[in-house]
Amino acid sequence: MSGQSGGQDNPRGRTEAHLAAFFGRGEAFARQLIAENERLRQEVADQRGDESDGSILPASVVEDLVARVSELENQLSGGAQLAVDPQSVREIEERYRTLEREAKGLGETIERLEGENYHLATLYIIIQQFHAAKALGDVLQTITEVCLNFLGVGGFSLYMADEERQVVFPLIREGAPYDELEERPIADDGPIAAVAGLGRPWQGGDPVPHEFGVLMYLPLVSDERLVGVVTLESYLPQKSGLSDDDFAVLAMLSEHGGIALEKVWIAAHASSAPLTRRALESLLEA
Amino acid sequence: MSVDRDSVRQATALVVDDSPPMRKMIVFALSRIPGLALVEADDGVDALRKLAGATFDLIITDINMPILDGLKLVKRLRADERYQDVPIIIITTEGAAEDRQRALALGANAYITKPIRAGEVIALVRGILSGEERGA
Repeated sequence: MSGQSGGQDNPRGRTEAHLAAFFGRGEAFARQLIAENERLRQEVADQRGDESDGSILPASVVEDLVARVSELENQLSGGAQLAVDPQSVREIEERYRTLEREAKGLGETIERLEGENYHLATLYIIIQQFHAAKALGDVLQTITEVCLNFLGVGGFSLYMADEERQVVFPLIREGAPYDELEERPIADDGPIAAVAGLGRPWQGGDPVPHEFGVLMYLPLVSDERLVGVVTLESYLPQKSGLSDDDFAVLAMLSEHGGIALEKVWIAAHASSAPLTRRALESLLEA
Repeated sequence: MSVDRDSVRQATALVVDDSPPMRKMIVFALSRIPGLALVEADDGVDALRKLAGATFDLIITDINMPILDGLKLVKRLRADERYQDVPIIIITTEGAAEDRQRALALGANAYITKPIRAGEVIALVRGILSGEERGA
């Protein structure tokens, strides 16, 4: 006890006195319970004589319980129904249906995200191919692969711009004879002029210029410069139309295909000019 | 062995396509399958070279390739007892029914046309490697 206790006149002293009385009564009660428990144990043991193993439950009770468990197990294995609360069953079934709906929704979300992930990876890899191209053949190969493998367009042509004569001329054709194609003026009043008039790469939402035999005219543009035009002419047998993802690929082809074509054109003509400090510094100042 | 429910046993697949972006996209899609290692080959000849140096559990090949095309590759592999049981999936732009029938008659297990849907290819590869699907 603390020496600061002032006896039972102050609150702390009164509290301690109450606690001492409370625990004293609790201890006495606990002792009574233990004594009664011991008396009952002894009484049961005396009734069972030498067979007693100290267990409070008589052997017959245990045997009855084991027999009952065995009986229930037999009932269950024989297809017997346990008596259950119908309300609980309804709640469990409702919960199961909710979880099933949630799982289906999550599955659809995962599928959509994986589709978007694949689409973005497609765009990334194609752009990477265009920018890694070192020669005209590399760019033409990538354009061909994009049309065939990624868009499912089996018939297409690539026209390149001849800026001096203001025409586009056919360079490659897939899925139909090349000889059928002719040069076409850039500034006529047809679809070539329409895509040239955009003055920028084609984007999703822009009009889709077309005419008989051509599903779409797609300009290949670097900044504002029309470098070429791809005409989409027919789908592969397994393809029936263009999706939103396909239009995103076409927009990418319009811009990065144009940049890649201009880049290899410039590179081919700049190869004779060595890199020099003076030339590079003047470029920086320009 | 991974405990992921979507994983396959440790397996290696050979992806044969002369188109680098297409090859990359197939590898990208299949790299989502835990436990599956992927090796790339540029064409049929490159595929044979890589098959000679390692063991593969699955071969995925294009048809139209220079030097040795996909159908000739399938024919060569099925004639070689070492590769008679290795599953082969064709991924091609050739969508005509007769092309499909010809490839399957030569011994291909499955035939998918481009443009591919990643989910379709992943499901097919998982099915084949888990032994649940033998293709068509």
